[in-house]
Amino acid sequence: MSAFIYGVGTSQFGKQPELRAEDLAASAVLEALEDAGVADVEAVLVGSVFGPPGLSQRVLHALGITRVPILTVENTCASGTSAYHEAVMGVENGRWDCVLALGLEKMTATGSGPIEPEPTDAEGRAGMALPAIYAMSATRYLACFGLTERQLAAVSVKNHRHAIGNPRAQYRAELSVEDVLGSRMIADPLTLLQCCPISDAAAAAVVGRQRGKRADVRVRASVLQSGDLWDYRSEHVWGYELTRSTGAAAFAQAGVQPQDLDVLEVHDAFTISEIVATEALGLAAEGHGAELLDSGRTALGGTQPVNPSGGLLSRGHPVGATGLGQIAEIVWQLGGRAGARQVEGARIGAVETLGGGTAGIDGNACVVSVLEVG
Amino acid sequence: MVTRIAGKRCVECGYVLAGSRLRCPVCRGSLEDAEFGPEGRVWAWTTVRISIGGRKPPYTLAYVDLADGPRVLVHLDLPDDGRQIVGSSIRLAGSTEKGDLRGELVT
Repeated sequence: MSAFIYGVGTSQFGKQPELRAEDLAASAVLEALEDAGVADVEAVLVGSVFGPPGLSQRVLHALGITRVPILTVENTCASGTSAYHEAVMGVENGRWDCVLALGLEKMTATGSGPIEPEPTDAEGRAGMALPAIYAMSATRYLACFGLTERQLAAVSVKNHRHAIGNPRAQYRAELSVEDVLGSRMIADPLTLLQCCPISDAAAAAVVGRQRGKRADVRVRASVLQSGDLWDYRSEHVWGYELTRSTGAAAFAQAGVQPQDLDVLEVHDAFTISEIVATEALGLAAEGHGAELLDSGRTALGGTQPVNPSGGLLSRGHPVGATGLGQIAEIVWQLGGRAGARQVEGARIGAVETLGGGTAGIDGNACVVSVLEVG
Repeated sequence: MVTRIAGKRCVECGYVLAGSRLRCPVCRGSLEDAEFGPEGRVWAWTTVRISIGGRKPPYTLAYVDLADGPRVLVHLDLPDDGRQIVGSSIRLAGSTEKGDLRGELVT
């Protein structure tokens, strides 16, 4: 691919009811533009889920970004990476030379509790809350693959520990497996500390054509796919096949094997999500994802750290902003700029984001992107 | 009360689904009326313990593969004793107060 990431920026992640969407966006956009050394962009692609209508133009005109095309993308949890993917493709296809991708979500503006199931969706109407979608996968894994509740909890322990090194993460804590399993049950077998928190944040990336700057990060691959039907013919848990297919396409485009990746940010909305995602991406065989935790391979200090930022579980999950938060983390990692959570010598990294919530398909969208030191 | 549910079967490829569609989502062929159930097996399940969607917790949801038909989402009345029910036999049994498909374990 011909696209590069010139610079990234994010706001703080967390419940920040005192901040406006404009404030969050300003933090991310101004940091990204400064990091990129760019004053102007030719277009802005924005990922956001809960709006309100006009959000993108409202926050951008306040920063003096006007007249250029501004497009808002909604792909549930993959909205931020979908905006990023369209920015990359816009550069790749020669439509733009330099474009801004922004993810933005102000979740405390629409409530303080969990996301309500969508009443116009067949399963949402039947009470299928988001934690329940993933809890279904977890009960299936417990029954079919001998996964244990302690192994599930180990994902949360690892990612919360990683977040201690990330000053922008929502929850930074040393937790024990007992702490995780002893927290309130949300949807069996997932306890509260196995569920990502709602969050307010923005994250941004400036994407453009090759300009010969050493600090720019090369986009080796970016693939977006929406899910096929998920039904009685599906032997795998929800999202597995979509993630596998998207990952395989991205790795083929990049000419890399999963084992070549030095660092990954994956969609750990719930503990089971990281286990399924790492399997679907090929880090482990199906049913063997927990071995990555047992061996320490995916922990900081291991050979293939996953979610050094703390992931969605600990950095927080401001839905539309998450994907660009993941991109920012990998860009910082590849630039040796990740501070206490730095993966030493990281040269190739990947991001995976999975959006769901529409009954009957294997996912609304999955994006996998492979990045490399420029 | 034992129930069967209304659905469709594709006259071209045999794909089955609960509810209705304008055409087969697999091959885009024509659909004919069909009925499925009441027997099936639990594919996955969870008990939701948070108040959400205007519902009173706890309530148990399961994906059930009907013996002769589609995978459907079912509300189950389940003793709250931590039992693992993947693979268990269930039978469709009417609907809940809110009109959701309901099932019960076959013991």
